[in-house]
Amino acid sequence: MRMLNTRKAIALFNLIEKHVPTDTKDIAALDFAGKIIESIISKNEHRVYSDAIILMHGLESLEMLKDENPEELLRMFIDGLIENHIISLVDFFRKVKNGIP
Amino acid sequence: MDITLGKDKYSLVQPKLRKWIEIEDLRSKLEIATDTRTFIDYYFGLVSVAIGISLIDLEEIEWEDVAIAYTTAIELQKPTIEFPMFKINQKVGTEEWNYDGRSWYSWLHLLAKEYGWNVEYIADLEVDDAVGLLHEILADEYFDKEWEWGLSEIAYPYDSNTKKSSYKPLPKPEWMLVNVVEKKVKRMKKIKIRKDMLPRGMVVLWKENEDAEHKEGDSTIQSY
Repeated sequence: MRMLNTRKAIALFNLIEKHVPTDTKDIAALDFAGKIIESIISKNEHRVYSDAIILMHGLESLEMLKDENPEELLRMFIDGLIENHIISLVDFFRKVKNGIP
Repeated sequence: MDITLGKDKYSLVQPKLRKWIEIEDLRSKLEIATDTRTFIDYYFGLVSVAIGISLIDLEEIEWEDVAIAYTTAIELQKPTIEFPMFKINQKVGTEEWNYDGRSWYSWLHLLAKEYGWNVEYIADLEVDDAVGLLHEILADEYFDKEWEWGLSEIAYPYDSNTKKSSYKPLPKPEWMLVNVVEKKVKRMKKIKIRKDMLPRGMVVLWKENEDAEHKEGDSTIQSY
């Protein structure tokens, strides 16, 4: 797995932006991932979780995740967020979209 | 400023006028882009123009490298002088007869008309110089209009209360008033309050450099 290109990074941003806490200061990566998952569950948008894993790991379809156990999926999700510096990613594209340089 | 995009290194300097205007145009379009497709087009367009890299090459580069390139390009867009005209929100190109890329021709027209320079010379101007000159052209235009205004009847409206006509100055454009408004905001009015209406208790004034001590657990203020 490697860091996403811009087009895919924006797709990831669009997927999880509303699940990401607005205050990202002093927040550890694991807590951050936890908050995203909490939000996905509470909003009942489980597809976002699998779509994000597919996107971050460059998989072709949901079928490829079918045989993975929940712990492995969670690991893949967190690894993907860490690899893509998700806090910086969300912070950066939020700023650009709001016209803040 | 040096940046790395993929395997290649690029050295960036502040763009000259024509490129600067092109980047500013893309930046304004990016701010109002509503769908992801146009957002990406303008975002890549801006980085491509600023760095001089092809759009195809940008597609493959990690998002963070492109983000650093974007941030650096935006940083280099800032003129080194704080011009009042950049402190206001300008609505450019809202007219129906507006066309894509008009900003450049508008600058070119103003500078060529005033100084007689050719296209290449104007395109290669430093941004600070171009903005400073534009500032002077617009100021001159205003003072010319103010002179003409002073000669016309509408500058002296009749006041039925005083039964006299008095001079009404020509309203200044927003950018000419920006520093006046800022000074007014900075200069806070002192308001006198009756002593018996002030909060009771001991008033502890913090001395300079005392912040750190208080933050480290000094509860003097809370205990009163």
